Amino acid sequence: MSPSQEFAAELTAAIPGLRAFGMSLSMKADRADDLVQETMLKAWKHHGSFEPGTNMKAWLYTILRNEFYSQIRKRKREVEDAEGVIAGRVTVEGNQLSHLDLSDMKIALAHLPEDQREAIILVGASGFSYEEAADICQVAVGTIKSRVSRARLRLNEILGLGEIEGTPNKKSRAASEATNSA
Amino acid sequence: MAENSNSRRNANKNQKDKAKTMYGHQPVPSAVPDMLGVKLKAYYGEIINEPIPDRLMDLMAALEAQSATKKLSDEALLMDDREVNDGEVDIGEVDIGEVDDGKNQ
Repeated sequence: MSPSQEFAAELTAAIPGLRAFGMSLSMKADRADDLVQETMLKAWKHHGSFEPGTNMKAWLYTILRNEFYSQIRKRKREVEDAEGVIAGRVTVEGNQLSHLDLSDMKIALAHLPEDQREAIILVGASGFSYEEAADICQVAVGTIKSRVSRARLRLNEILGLGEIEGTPNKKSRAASEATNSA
Repeated sequence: MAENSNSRRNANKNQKDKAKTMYGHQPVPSAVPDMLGVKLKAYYGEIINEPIPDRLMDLMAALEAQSATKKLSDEALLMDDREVNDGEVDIGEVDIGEVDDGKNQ
């Protein structure tokens, strides 16, 4: 049987969120779109395994996340590459963006370990509950809570928010100058 | 990330209580999460509001078109069976006008 119109409509509606999640996992726009494309194809093919009435958004995010990590396993070399290169790559991309806060946040997120990054994105930006995020990441709720809490502390530290009195760090100042002179 | 997810899940179950004590519901300093939350949502919102790339919209259209074609041919097959099996069936009763047209083209 073909997917229902409702299924198609929900999948279409989820695309922007899936792109944002894919972008936050991979930190690269073209890679994110590849992930979304794979997610759409897999969701369509396996629509029968989705139980209508359950959370389709969470189901789709789970597919995308699984796809991301299976690609990483396939291309282990790229992981090693990413660890060394990611900061520089993000800085370059960040400087091209006109929105200062956006580039600051992107740089800060790139400094988090992947498990903390996905946790804070799911709970703090995508609007999932701790329980839903735990399902998506296939870990215990307590694990998600601790990852979110560590991610928050780290992001606040990097962005100079809250406790630490905020002189902008070198990276955000550089980004600011780049934006002003552009 | 190459860990087996089942063993990871079990390990996490065992650590659940420990994690609760360590990080549990300990609040992060109160002004902090809000500022960060706003910035995180702004970051995410920027991406969400970007136009969807053509290739993804094209893929969606192709998937829908493919299943529409499949559905149509399934219905046509079903109708053929009926005609063969029961010559006296009142086709006018069944809403198959479009399928009929499609088949004759």
